[in-house]
Amino acid sequence: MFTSLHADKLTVLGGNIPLDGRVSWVPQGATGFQPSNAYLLTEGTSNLLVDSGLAVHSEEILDDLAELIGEGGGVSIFFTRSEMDCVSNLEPIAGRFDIERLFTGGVINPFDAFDDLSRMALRGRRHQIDAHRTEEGDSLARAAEIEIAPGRVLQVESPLLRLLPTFWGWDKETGTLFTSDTFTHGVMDRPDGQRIIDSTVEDTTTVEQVAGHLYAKYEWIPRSTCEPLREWLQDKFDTLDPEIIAPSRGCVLKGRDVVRRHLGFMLDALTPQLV
Amino acid sequence: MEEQLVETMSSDLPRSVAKGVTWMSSCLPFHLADRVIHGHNSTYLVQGEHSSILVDTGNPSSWPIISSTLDELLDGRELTYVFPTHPELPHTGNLPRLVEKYPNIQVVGDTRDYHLFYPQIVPNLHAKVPGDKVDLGGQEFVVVEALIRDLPNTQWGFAPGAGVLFTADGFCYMHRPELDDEDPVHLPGECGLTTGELQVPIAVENAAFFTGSALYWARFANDADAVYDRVLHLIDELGVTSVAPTHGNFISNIRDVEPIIRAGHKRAYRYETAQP
Ligand SMILES: [Fe+2]
Ligand SMILES: [Fe+2]
Ligand SMILES: [Zn+2]
Ligand SMILES: [Zn+2]
Repeated sequence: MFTSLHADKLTVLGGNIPLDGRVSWVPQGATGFQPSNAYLLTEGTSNLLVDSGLAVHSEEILDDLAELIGEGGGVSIFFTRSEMDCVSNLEPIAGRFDIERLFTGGVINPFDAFDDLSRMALRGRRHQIDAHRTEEGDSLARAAEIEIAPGRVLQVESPLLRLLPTFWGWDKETGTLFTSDTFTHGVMDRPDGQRIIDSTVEDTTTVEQVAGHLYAKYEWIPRSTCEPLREWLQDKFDTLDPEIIAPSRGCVLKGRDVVRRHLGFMLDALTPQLV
Repeated sequence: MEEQLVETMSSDLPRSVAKGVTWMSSCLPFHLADRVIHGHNSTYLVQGEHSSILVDTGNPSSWPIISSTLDELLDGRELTYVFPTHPELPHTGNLPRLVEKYPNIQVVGDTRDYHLFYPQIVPNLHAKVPGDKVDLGGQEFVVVEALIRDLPNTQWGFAPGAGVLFTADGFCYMHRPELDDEDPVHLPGECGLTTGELQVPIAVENAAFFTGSALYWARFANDADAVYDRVLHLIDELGVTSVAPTHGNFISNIRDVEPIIRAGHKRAYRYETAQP
């Protein structure tokens, strides 16, 4: 089941992950269901998929994609990370659709997961978004632009707040910030629950919940120097003033008030003595 | 830079590095303007009298060579276990192919998340926690808590009979001061050398560079001494004689190498003045 976030421009698709003790990136004892997200940015007949969701949701993602872009349609893909929760549907998507361009960073080419023939055919379609590395292993401040269609770009940047090589995307057109594995804390009680937190839903999020999800994966945060991370994050949100936070898992956060509130939770979570 | 289609296995490998332990590595060649450098992507086979365990699976693009090396080393027997240290492509990318080749194989370790990434291998998943042991016949494999890790479900392993500690992305480093890639690299001809055999010793700045990028959190957390003190304690407690990382040369002289990695890790911290 896909949900439109911005008419004709942005759609979220993907399934739910049952939190049953078999998931490493949520706090211990977490229950309920966590949405797993892939986002389709559309401009006219051009499509850019941000992440590809989990293999366990392959069928629904591919069927939804077929409905949105047409069976066998052309699509470009941007991976926010080369981790399995983002990339594990690449091969089935390549089997059913035409992957026009693949935007990834790091040294791993995700097409390497394919058999020799498909790899040979697809290799040239990969665009390295972090081709220029700085001396100390930083990948900051080399914003790349992915052109979705003439006049519509996704700006790409490596965030200061990350674990593995990670890229955030900024779609000015819809005011959406794609935050990969941060802001992942929105979970649902039921599998058919509301996967978008906006002004129409009662938002029961707490700072403890935000910190719990952040520290589950970023376990070093509580023992780290966090001021630079808070400053960077505050500055990013002041500059962009996003309307939508679109993480690769967890509920989508929609509306400026909601976004501001959750930024506050995150800034507090990045002040571990407050939590 | 022209990318290679298939990773190559150095002719120096596979190589037996301890009792029952074989170092298998594919090397991904990177063609730079003036030279070719290699990135290790190792797997290790630990063999006992009746069973064997593969530590990490290697990258999917090196499957053909890994598969044929396994054929050679197992000599007609099935692979009993595979221990993926953590779910990143270079470490787990061949899980589906291994299950296809050895349908009864048991995937052991911290198997959280794998049901979401590889739904087809769920029947093969056997969760283990630190302290759990796998009996290979005259050889054991023990699951150990990972003390240096990138993902929350990273685990280390130890083969007591061989004295080898398997550390995944921990203790990966490069040793060429003039090289500056984010991944630990070496030059052709050094693929199968242990750290004790290398001509050029590791430099602290190389360890710092690698730690600062591959273990990105090191720039924010100022706790290298605590981390490496725990590692040394583990090394003493278990009786570790050598360390087998996934992306670097096999470490035959851990006591010499540890202080360099520790110093590099310390240097990766960025906010010295911000600390009281
Ligand atoms: Fe890793
Ligand atoms: Fe690595
Ligand atoms: Zn690795
Ligand atoms: Zn090599």
